[in-house]
Amino acid sequence: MKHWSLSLRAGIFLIFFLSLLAFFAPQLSSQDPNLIELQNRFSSPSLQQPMGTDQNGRDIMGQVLFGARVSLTLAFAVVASSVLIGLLVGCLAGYFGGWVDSFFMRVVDIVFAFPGFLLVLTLAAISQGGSLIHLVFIMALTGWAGYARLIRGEVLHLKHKEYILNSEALGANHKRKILVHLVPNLWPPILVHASFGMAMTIVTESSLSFLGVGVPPETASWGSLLNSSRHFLLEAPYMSIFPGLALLLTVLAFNLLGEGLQDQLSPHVQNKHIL
Amino acid sequence: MSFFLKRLITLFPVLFGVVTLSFFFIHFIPGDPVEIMLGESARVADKAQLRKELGLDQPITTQYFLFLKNLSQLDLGSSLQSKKPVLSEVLEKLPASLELGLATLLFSLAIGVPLGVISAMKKNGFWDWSFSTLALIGLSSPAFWLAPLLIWLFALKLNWFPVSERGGLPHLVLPTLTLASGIAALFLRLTRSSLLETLNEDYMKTAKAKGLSTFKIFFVHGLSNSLFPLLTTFGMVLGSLITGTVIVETLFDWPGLGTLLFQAIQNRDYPMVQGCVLFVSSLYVLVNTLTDITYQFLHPQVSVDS
Repeated sequence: MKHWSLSLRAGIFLIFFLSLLAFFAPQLSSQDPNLIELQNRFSSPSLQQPMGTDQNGRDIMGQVLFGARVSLTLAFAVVASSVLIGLLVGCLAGYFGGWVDSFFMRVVDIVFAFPGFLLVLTLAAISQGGSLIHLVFIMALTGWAGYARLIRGEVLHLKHKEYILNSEALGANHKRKILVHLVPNLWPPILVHASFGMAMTIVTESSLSFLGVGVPPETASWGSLLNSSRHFLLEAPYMSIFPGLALLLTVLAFNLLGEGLQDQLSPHVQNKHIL
Repeated sequence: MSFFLKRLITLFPVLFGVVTLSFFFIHFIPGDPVEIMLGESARVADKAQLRKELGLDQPITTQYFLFLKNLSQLDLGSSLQSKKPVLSEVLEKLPASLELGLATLLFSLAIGVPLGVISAMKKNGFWDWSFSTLALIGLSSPAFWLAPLLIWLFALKLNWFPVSERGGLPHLVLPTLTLASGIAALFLRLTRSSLLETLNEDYMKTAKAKGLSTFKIFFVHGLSNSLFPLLTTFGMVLGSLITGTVIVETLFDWPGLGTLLFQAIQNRDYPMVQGCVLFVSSLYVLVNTLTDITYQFLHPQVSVDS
């Protein structure tokens, strides 16, 4: 077992810490984050409200903490469903080859032909007012293709390995070969890809919310916080600083995790994945 | 030459896929565009009127073929807002976006490549470590956070640069800085890893054995060979440039395609949204294909088929 690198340890620690904060958001915020107290508008960070209050006197720390819940859960749901679709498509394409492979890979090519964010932005805008599930669906719709391509490549590489041929000689059918022998060996690259995927999804979700087409308006989100705060840059710069820091830290954590996992699990492709 | 043709031929099905997908996505996503445009409480007659105007009362296949027919005549429809043709509005906004994109690319290269070279030369040293950390932060900071900070510091507090809108060079500085933070970081890391890989090649050892100066080894033999891979990542860079542009243009009131798209989204101007997406995606596909071809042309021994 290789020694865990600094980035891996830092990534895991940060994610653990942020998840704890998100989990205990109700206990940690001193008051209801949606509580409007107009007499308490724009109060600078204090002991009572460490991140200050916004234009409606709402506690910013509470909103940031609750925002963490939304961002993390949503990103996890998107990445998990993208991985599942990617796994299905990638395994089928790589394992069976032939027209199945050609068909799925052309679909992947077309999804890749779009600049991803543009597509997600448009779809989110059209289905505006949708629920969180809706948003997950849209983001997974464009997100699976990367995993499918990755997994297909891995399957192509693995399927001629001796242990697969052996299992075939022992009478394993397609289903058993894929589920028992292939899939468990696909996890290392998937985990690396998924960590970077979490980082990217969190940025995408907050970008959408920032542009006003992301999570529903009543849901606290870092993106929407940053959008409303930019109108008060002069009187309350802290309104922009804290939600942004939270976002930066979370994205950084997943990037660190991805990098650490990459070094740990597949040293031979070190530095190949940049994003 | 055959590669060139092959690549050009594969371009068509992909472009066709892009066109088809952008049509069907808009039509199959839940939510009635007419209702969203007019509001749920609009009168039934008004809704029917708009539906007819947009051709939405026709069966979907008819709509699709009409869309293809118009597209073949470069007709992307008209904006619901300004009533002007979508394509002419898009073309009108294109130069501003290109200006910003080009400035970002040049600036990112000017910062990212030299820092990447220094990192590789001083591998695992202090500067390498600092630049890597900086790059990681650059890659992780979202534009819509960086931009307000830059505006707050350089425009509002120090008053060095204008806050927004297009104009001369000073206007270009803050949006470019925002967009370039991630892309320069990307270039830095690519240059570093690619140069480190090149340094391990046999011909580099030969150069060293021949007694060439470190400077010559690095810059003549190393760098010229390690900058090639940068070209292959151009698609990725372009993708993040497009994503960033939508947000940065909105933040800085930059009159480009990003702002056009965002306003169209806010005004629920569907023909405009569809036109923008189609235009930018096609451009994206074209540029990616050109990059592939250029790469192949410069580096014929690399097989792109794999």
